[in-house]
Amino acid sequence: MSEHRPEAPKDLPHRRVRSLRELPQERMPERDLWPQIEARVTERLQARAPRQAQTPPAERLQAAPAATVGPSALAPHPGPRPRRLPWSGWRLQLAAAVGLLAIGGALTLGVWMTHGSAARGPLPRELLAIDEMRPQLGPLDGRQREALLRSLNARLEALPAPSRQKVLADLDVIQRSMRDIQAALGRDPGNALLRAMLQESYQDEQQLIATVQEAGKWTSEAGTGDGSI
Amino acid sequence: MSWMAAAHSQHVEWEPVLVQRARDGDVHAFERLYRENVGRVYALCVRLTRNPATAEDCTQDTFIRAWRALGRFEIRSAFGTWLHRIAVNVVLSRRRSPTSTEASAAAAPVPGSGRAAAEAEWTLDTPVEVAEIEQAIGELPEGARDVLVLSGIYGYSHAEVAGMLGVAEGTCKAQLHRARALLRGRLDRETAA
Repeated sequence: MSEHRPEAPKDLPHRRVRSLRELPQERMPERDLWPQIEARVTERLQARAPRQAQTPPAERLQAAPAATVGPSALAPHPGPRPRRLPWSGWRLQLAAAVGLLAIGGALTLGVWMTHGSAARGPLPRELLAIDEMRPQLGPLDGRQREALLRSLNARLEALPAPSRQKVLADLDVIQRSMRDIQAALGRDPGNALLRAMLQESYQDEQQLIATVQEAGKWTSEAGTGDGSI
Repeated sequence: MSWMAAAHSQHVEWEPVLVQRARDGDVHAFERLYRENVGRVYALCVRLTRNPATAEDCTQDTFIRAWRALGRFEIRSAFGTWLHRIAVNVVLSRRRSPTSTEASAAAAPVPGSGRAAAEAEWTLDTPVEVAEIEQAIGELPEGARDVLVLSGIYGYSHAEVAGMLGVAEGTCKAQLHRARALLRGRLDRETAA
């Protein structure tokens, strides 16, 4: 040990004891523990699923907004509950995945983002396609949306290719989710759950765009480069 | 402003949002909480158990118990602190279990040693010292070690530590005093060596 510290001061042990809080507070396990945790958690959800399947349809529809992504999921609730409805489990998963994209993926992009020129150009085709869904999404501020899309287009032009691809991939997931929901709505136009999911997916798309817009500012304010929130 | 944009602008407000979504049954939100907190939970478990394999089990149990108890979590509280409380409970329960494997802890790798410790930030001295201090902490008697880890390393108050360990606050103070004295003694011997 003296080889490492030939001039160790006499009060070193006291100094070390006083400095315990400088010890690393985090240490990662050697393996990823999440798969096993997820299996146990999902097991519990599935065990509860039959009970939910017996719930009257009207109550299921009332519970639907909390099962999708968006502000309505913030309503108070006594604890975790199963959310996989027997007829649309994969769609709910897809909608939940969109929420994750919004939280994680878009912010990671923000870290990579550079401030580019605000050159104007044609709107991305994918975004215009989404805009065609407006009649089914309710009243929207058209000018605000157009400004957002044009601004995003400028951002995309300025982005490095990997970041641009990530943005477009995220948008693609959201849009595929919306198309799936729309297709289901075509078969069941009166389904309130599907309408709520479509509305919230649309909000997620808007949030993704807004996040991309704000990411440059946010990154510089936060001063972090690890992509975490 | 959307909930997500609000979360971004305030940098730390995402946690209650994720907790609420997890309470609503969103497994993905819970995974995000796991990813953010697993390092702190595992580090505590490995310091208390001195056995990486046992610490992994305790970490898993902690998150599974947390999922089950999310409905009782006070959103205004710090989620990380709540997880630490659960983790301490899990470790103590395991110690009391007749099938506890902590007896083999003495032969286990030293917490904080190896690559992970070498890569950790340590401003006082070298990474070698981190391993030495962790080793010295690991050799403390259980009760003293628990208090020293929770109070000395993680900065919990005596009242909080007493609550987590289920002991009186006076006991907690005495254990901390004892732990510091023992630790100084061990480090003294190492420095003199």
